[in-house]
Amino acid sequence: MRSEQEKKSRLMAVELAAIDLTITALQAGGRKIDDVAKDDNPREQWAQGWADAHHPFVELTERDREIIAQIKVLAGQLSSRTSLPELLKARGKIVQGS
Amino acid sequence: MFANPALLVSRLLFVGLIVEAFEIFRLRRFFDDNEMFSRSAVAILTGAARWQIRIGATVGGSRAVTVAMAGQAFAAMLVIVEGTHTRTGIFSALICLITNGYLRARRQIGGSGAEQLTFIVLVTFGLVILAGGTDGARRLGDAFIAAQVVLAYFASGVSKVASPIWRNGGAMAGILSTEGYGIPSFAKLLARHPEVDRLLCWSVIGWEIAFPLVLVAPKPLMIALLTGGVVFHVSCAVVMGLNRFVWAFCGCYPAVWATAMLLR
Amino acid sequence: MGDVRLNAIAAVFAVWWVISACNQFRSGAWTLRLRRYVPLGLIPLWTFFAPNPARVDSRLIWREEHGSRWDCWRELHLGFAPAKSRWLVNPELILNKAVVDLVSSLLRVRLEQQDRSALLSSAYLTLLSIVLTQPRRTGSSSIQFAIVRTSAGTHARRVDVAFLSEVHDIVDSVTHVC
Repeated sequence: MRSEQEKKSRLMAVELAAIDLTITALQAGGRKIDDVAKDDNPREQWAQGWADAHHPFVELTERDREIIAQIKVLAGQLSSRTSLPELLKARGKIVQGS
Repeated sequence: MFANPALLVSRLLFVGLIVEAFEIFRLRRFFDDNEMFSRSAVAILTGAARWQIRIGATVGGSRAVTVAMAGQAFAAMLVIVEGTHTRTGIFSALICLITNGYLRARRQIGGSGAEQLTFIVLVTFGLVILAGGTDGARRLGDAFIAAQVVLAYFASGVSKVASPIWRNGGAMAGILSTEGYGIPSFAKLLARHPEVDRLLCWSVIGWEIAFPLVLVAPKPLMIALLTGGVVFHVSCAVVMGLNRFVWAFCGCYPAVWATAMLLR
Repeated sequence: MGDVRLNAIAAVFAVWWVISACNQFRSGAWTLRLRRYVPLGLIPLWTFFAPNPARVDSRLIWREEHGSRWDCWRELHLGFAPAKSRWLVNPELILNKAVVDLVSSLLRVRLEQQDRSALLSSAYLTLLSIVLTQPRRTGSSSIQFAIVRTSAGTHARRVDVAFLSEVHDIVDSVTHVC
């Protein structure tokens, strides 16, 4: 019973294929997901969620304008296909400087 | 709840702590390396936060969490048996404060309003004991918990009334259509009967906004509001799977009651 | 001495409650600075499913690149508790909520910073690290993740792509065989 339910709740192969087509089509058309995301409301409130979504660790970019500008500069300097260690190193520069 | 520790209802909150311990035990592997709550994932999550936020965030893997939750379950059981007025009960409740705090620090995400309230209650109890655990301190603790619960419901109600989705109906059908919180048949029923959805929305809004009256209303209304709360949270548990809200919020109703009696 | 302690905790409770009350307005904007210093969610935000109720489930999917070919998307499926028992125990709620927390943070950063700044956000990096630790085929060279939102439709589940990450090279020396 449980595995049956789990199968139904997982994204099906056909849904994943549709997602792939959507992404491919958008990218081929030069559009980003941002342009078309519907009902994109990051302030969607969950029963438990908002306090955690407001958790300080995500507020780095809001702490002051200098840090935001620094982040923008560093992010702009990142090459394409950056690895996770490279991203963490870049973020480390911001944290150290703040 | 602190002022009447002999009452069994004053210990309901600790049932929620046992449930939490069991749930985290079931999820213990997610605290291992290469898992969602691994030390490295939480280190990345909190890397940019201030040191106060990072305390305990990367301490211990699944074994430490398992030991902490075993301790929490045992301590919570002792509190349920003893109450918070005996030495054993007090010590056990303080153990729960430590284990619960550790879990919150270690996990950082995936928390809930029920956990939030539970931890605030435990910290409040710690402060009450720090102040000597006297009757006066316990009444103050109860008053603070009551004030937080009243604030919680009122703020939530006001927040809903500001939302067109809640005011016009549709909120309940939307929530219930999610797999995480919903029952598809209920959602379809509400979608077919939007007037029922609107009625449910306004019932919740009305009750939440009216809740502060519980502190000053005549006893029948007070009992009605608290009963409404129990019905609300049990319904949310059964329909939406918000299981721990029952223990956290209803577990604070003794504090609300005690404070209301004091104000009379 | 007793009175002093009593007065002290009364003061602590009063201040704590006032701060909590202030935190309910404007989604906590007034107490933002203070919350950065106060750990463990001791300054609560008590909005439950409001003002915008959750109407979708957020899911994390990812795919790996081999050479110049991309594998199929895979889902980090955490499961949902069965309705008949979740009123009592619901550990899956914690896992799914964790994903929701990360997704909410990420989408907020993305909206506020219309550039690549999101790549350096804690939420993005954490989500990337989570998919990187999933079992994968030997020889994967790059990885990409996406956030998908699902909701019940009339006949079939509605699926929307809410976020697509950049492509990231995989540089760890250990390859996991799935």
